[in-house]
Amino acid sequence: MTREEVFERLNKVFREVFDDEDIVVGEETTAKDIEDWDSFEHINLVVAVEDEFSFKIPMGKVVTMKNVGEMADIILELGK
Amino acid sequence: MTVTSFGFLGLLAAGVAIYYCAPKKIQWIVLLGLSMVFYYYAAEPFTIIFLIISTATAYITTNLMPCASERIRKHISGIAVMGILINAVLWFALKGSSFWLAGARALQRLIPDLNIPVEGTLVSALGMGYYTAQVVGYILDCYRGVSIPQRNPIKLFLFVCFFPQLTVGPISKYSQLQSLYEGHRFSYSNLCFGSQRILWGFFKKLVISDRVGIIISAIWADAGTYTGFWPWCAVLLYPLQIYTDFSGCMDIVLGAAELFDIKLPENFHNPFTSRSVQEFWQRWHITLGIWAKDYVYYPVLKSKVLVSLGRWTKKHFGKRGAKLIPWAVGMGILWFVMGFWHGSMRHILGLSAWYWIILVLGELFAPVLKKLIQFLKVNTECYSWKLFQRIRTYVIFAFGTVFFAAPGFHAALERYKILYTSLKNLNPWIFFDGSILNLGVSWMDVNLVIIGTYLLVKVAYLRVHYGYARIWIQKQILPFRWLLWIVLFLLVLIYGLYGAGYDASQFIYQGF
Amino acid sequence: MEKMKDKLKKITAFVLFMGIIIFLFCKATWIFRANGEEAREDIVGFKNQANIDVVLYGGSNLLRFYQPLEAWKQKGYTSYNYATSAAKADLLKEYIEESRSTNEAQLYVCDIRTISMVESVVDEASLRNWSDSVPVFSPVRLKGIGSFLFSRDWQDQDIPSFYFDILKYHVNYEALGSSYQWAYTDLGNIYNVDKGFDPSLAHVPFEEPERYDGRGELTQQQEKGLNKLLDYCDQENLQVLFIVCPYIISESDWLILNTCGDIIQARGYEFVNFNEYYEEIGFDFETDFGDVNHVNYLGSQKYTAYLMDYISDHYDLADHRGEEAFDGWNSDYAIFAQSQEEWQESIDSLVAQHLEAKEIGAGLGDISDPERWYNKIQNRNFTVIIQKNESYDWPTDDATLKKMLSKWEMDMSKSSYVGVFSGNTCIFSSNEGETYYGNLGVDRGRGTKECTVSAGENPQMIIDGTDYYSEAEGIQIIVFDNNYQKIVDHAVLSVSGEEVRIIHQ
Repeated sequence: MTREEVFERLNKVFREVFDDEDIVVGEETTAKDIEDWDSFEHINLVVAVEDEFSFKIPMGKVVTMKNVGEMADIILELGK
Repeated sequence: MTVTSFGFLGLLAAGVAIYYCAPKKIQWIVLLGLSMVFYYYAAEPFTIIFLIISTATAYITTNLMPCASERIRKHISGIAVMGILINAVLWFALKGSSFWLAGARALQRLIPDLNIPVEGTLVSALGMGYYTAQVVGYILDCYRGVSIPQRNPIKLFLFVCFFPQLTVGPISKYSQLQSLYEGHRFSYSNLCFGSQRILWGFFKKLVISDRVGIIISAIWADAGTYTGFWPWCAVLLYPLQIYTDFSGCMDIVLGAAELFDIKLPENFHNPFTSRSVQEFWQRWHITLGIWAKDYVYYPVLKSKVLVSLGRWTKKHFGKRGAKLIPWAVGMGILWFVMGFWHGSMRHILGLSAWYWIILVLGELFAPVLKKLIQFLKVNTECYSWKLFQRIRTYVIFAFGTVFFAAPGFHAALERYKILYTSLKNLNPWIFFDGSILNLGVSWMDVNLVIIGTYLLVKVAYLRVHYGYARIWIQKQILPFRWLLWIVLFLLVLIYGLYGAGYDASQFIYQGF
Repeated sequence: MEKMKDKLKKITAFVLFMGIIIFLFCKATWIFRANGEEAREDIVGFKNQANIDVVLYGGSNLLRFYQPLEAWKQKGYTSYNYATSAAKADLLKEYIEESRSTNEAQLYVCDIRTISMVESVVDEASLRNWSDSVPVFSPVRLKGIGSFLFSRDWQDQDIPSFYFDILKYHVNYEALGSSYQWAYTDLGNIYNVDKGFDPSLAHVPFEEPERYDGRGELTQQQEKGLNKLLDYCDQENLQVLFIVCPYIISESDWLILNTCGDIIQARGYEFVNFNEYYEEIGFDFETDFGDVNHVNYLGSQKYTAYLMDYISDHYDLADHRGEEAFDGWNSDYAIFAQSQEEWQESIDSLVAQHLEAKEIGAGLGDISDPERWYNKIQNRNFTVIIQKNESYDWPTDDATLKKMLSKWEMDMSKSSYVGVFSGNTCIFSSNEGETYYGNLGVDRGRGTKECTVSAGENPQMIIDGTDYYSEAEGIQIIVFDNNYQKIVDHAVLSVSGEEVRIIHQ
């Protein structure tokens, strides 16, 4: 899996979770950039990412991840 | 010794001197020593045993986690749960007495033959709610691999009992307090900023909060005479009192820590500029909110139960239902824990239930309101709309605090009743006839509250634009700066409500 | 180099800023200090007085007793009472030390009477009258507060408010609006013309106290306090005279002060207990005292005369009368003399009133005319106690009887009446059988006489333990002299035929 592929698939997940076809995420994208991304949606997102990439994100990372770039790092490390 | 006492200032002065004279390697021991001195004068000294127990459980459980032994590794989650449970039970036994006493009473009624204690108070440790939360957070952080367990039990003990934050918070994460163990060089700007922040905290607490408190208690003390607009004034003034009390305390705490070059996390960020209740709780008692989010909300939402609930509701209620129902459940649990942490039924109702209902209703009607706003072509980014939202948030908060401020459950209900019946005989003339002077305050007091509130607003504005008001002040010319601090000092010295004739300032939030 | 300059700038700024804060803190402290004008004017004024030969240290037992300006007039030496009300003897060392920062006297006179009152209870006023009159950061003051508090039960006290009294007084917001309080921001302006003399213009008669020659035991705290003072005098090589000013002294005080005298003399200092010289001083105990602890102005004249003689006879002090540097004392005396006239007038008239009342009281028993008798007992210095136990059907035509009954609000048809009056004041009056419980007499340290009066079924007139109720028919009246605290007449008012009579018991 390359980084670009990860971002491709992440775009799909984000669009699905937030019900918005126009979302494109990048390295520096944070919760501030997407209107509905609150703490509740954060978990929904995490669950959706876990489903998409078939792995479990450890709780520690869920709490500390700062932007989508970090999310991608975790996926590359642990995901499939 | 409380955080607003003269003794505390003395402790700080002596402590800072010793701290910066000590070799950097043992500066953390100086902090520990100061914390012990503080504890001795602030509480029943023997109750420190509870902090020691908490530290011991945290130390043992977390240091078992990275263990090489396979057998132990299998049970890591169990060990973590044990650690957390011991602390929670300790907290519940000593701080949650209103719960189990109520439970005991209920049980006694059901089974009259059972002879269980239904009255009584137990001496608890100082700041139990705060340090227990910190300890639980630490155990979970180690479990999740976010932090490396502390190998030195004494250093861990310092994390638990660090004196500025022991009695009123903020609830810090272990990762945020690593600088406790580092060496610090003396910096003049730390001394200045720290002292300035402490002075500001004293001003908020002693000049504004306690004064507003006089007015409010006078109104509730004689609710028979003070009807109509009076109880409403009391309710709407209360957020000012509790904000200046609690955040003033925070300023003293954070300022004190800053003197030692330790940065504690902020607990308030201009909460009354919040446009929604959601936002309010991200700006009020921030560290409690973060703690509840990271250690209760997220685990609950990510649990198998709630995830499957989410899937189930999506199937049956569509996307909207899928969002609403698990969210409401998650919120309910979050709010329950927050209310529970405050230690009484009143808080569970006045805090948890109230805000949960408001938030759920808000979420339920969000699409309707959105359509209405669009229909009325309301400009949602204009000043007046934001003002409306802020006032709305303030009023919702004020209404909920009636539970918080009342001395008991029934007293709170009484107050709501009074508020309702007062609507029938409104008396607008009270704002013009000077009858506020009958409440035990003079025009001088009223003026001081007004001036104080004005300064609060100014400082809030400066915070938004400069990070902290004192950064802006630092840029001004010397005579202005000096005059400002000198005047503030004299205002606190002369007009602060302390000393003989006044109760030693007890914080509303101290006691958790 | 830059770093050094920068550091130096920061240190200077810090020091300057803290200096301003401390300066304003002290000024604010003075504006709010509320420990009493007399104390502050005396102690602060001392610093603005130059060239004092003799300084006297003590409490109100100097303030009311000794007139420095009179001594100046008669003997030509300058003196000053560095004294505050309720001062305790174990703080006198600090008094001397603080006073010596502006004045080195030739003779130090210490009144150690209060040694018997040095105990473990903290008497706030006795510390604050001094500590709140001295500049906040004076080292002697800081040490003195510590030594006073920590040798007593300090645990329940608000310690910081003693060191920084603004913490206590800042709630007196009216002080900000008082030009008198603001005057203390410039201490150089404070001047006490009377040099610490403030007479008592009260009067109660006493009897000469007994003399006791025994020795009592000082507590450890008291002995420590006395020794601290003596050690300081030794250390500083001071010429000290230890005295006890005269007052209505008790037996236990005699014993303690005799022991103190022994200790002091053993250390080589002079000790004079002026209670041994009542006759020489010429006290008339009936007129010269204002309360159990203090002489009044009359007494202070006699005492000042005696003390100034003693001082000038026993000590070699220069006579400064006529010296230009001491002109100020002359102009002060001129003002003082006017006050003296006023005080003299006031005390003379008061004493005369009391003596007159005594005389009237003595003569009451000889008066048989009810009207004359009634007029005499209206004296403000009497308390009149009236009791009636039956309803009497007396003719109320008699003018005197009418006057009495209406004044006393007595209802003749009711069967019980109790009334207590003093001069024109009604202290108690009841036609319904209520009992009067009260205290008779002017206290002023002597105590009062307990009084219980009830009428009707269970009549009693108990004063100081004795029941004066008599079975005679009529209205019982007791006349009590408040100042002398004794009954001067006991009469029964009755009507026989048309005649109203007073029968003395």
